[in-house]
Amino acid sequence: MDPAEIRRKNYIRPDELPYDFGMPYRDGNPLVYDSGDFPAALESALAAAGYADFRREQARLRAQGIYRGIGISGYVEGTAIGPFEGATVKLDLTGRVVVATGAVNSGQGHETSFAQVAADALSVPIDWVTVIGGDTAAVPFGVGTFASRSAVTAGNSIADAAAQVREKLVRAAASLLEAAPGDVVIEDGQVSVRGAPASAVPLARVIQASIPTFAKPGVASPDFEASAYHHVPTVTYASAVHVAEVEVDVGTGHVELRRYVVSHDCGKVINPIIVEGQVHGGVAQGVGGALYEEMAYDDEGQLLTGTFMDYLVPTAMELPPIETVHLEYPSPRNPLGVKGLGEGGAISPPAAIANAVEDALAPFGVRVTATPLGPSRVLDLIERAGKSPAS
Amino acid sequence: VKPAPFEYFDPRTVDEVVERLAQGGDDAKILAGGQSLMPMLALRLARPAAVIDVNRVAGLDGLTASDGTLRLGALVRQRALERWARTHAPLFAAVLRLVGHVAIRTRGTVAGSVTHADPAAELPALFRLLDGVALARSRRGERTIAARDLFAGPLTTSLRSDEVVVETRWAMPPPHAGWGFHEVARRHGDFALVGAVAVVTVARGRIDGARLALFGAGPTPVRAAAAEKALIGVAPAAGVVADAARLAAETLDPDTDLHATAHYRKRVARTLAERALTDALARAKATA
Repeated sequence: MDPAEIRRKNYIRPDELPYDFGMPYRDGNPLVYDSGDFPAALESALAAAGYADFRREQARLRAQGIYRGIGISGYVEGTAIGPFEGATVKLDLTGRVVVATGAVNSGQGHETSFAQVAADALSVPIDWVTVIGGDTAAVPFGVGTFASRSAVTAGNSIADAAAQVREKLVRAAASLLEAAPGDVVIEDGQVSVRGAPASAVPLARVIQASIPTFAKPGVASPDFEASAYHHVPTVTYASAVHVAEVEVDVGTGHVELRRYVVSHDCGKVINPIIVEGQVHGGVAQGVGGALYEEMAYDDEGQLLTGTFMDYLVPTAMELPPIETVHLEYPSPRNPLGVKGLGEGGAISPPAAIANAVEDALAPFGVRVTATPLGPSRVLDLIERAGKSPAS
Repeated sequence: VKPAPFEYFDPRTVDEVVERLAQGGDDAKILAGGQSLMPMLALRLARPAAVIDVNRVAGLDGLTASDGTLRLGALVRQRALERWARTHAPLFAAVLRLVGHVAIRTRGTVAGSVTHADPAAELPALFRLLDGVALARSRRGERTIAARDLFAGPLTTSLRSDEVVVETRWAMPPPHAGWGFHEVARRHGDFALVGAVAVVTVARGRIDGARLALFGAGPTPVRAAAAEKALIGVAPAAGVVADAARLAAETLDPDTDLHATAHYRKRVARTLAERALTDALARAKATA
């Protein structure tokens, strides 16, 4: 049976979601897939990879002694383990926003994604927002950045805290503009009364009017700060289907990664460029596991790959163009509808690439059971399979 | 890791260099491009008492080609040769493209790579292929060392401890010669697991010149003498090439390491020799 077909027959259908496994997740809560569409991920990945066309081309090339293969790997990943993350949002005298969270950025663009979340919740320009990570003087309680959790845990805490600050702003603005709170509109850092655009004042004016003077008290308490510790009920389930296309040089065992397609669901996408970067970075790491990286030891237990001269990580030269299809199935388990993303890209490449190599070498009867698939190992697999391709 | 302490000298003339070498002996190392020596110092695989930096020595950066010989001063960078080769020597350009990365080639010198004598490196193999000659200077005078005598083992040459290479000379293939170059490396820019480089000339329908060198397949780059001999005087054909490649691989005695088995290297040496010779024959221009 074709590898795509067996997946078509077996993937959980969207109408079966939420899908209860009747067993606990490792956080002790029931393991229930929340949202997604796995067949859609499969079909969109196959379409982007040109799967059907590839099969025709593959047969034609094999006749010329060119061995190309295509491999599929799908996963569902429990992401964003709880129990919570902390965030504090506060405004200064000019309306600029400081967001502090326990989730520290390690290169994945928190300053951008979290600023977007806060700016959206407060209706201020994104460049008004400064994000601080991991400063216990700024936010006392937090957990950290790991387990593909920051967008879900910190993101929702930031959205929650920012919404509370927005309420405080609305109350102060209502008092200043002599309107009902329900009629106060905040837009792009300006506050106005609904239907009266001429009433618009800068956010800073609302904040400054809240500060008491010797002449009179402020229009409201000048407390424009809130903290939130968003608690997640359990993990969210992100998913993807990866398709890898390889060409194997059967004279040398060299594997060339020609194409790579990722069709994935991380719930609501906060920032598509950052999401792509996360996916690409994950795929690069997964390619390392598939083709290059190995903790190798000698018979005495001495590590042989203790420096980057021998522990090979892929560079830009080793990576193919990576095509990304974003499928958005918001998680019902958090207000932003987001799911974790950071680690997902690295899950499937070893399986997808191993499947692709096995597919390329099917005429030789090769079975791939270990990675990395360096040329020496691949040639060894061909020799051991001991089958000549039928011409 | 940081290097173990060493004394640093930066002489301005070859005479000063050889003077320092004479004093330092086995404990002195020449620093040119530093693309091999610096990592070895940092990893403390090399712990010389003195490092003699030749980068400020004048007059060692000449690149001249005349009468079929390419002469390269010891400080000619790999990248400089590559740029020149793109329009003058496509074989050199093809080989240099796989020597490390652009940043490495911009610092790394041709003579440095040759005398570093890594058995899996491209330039020593090319030096062997093109009957290179190293011009070595010491306080005692000057001598030439042929490529076949230069490579003594992995990272080992027949240079004496008081000698410095000031020039390398390469016998350029004639314009009608064809060339072929193939290697397998784990990643782009890595040292080859195994590689083959060939130059052939064809006259009146028969091969009248054949050179084949293999690298990454033993302690030094090697010329495949039996294969070369078998090709002379025969008409180019696939069977002839396959036989020559088989002969070339037969005598190899490569090692097993982390990245490839000895069996792999020997087997793939044959494949790559066949491909290099096939390409070389396809590129050779027939002469009457």
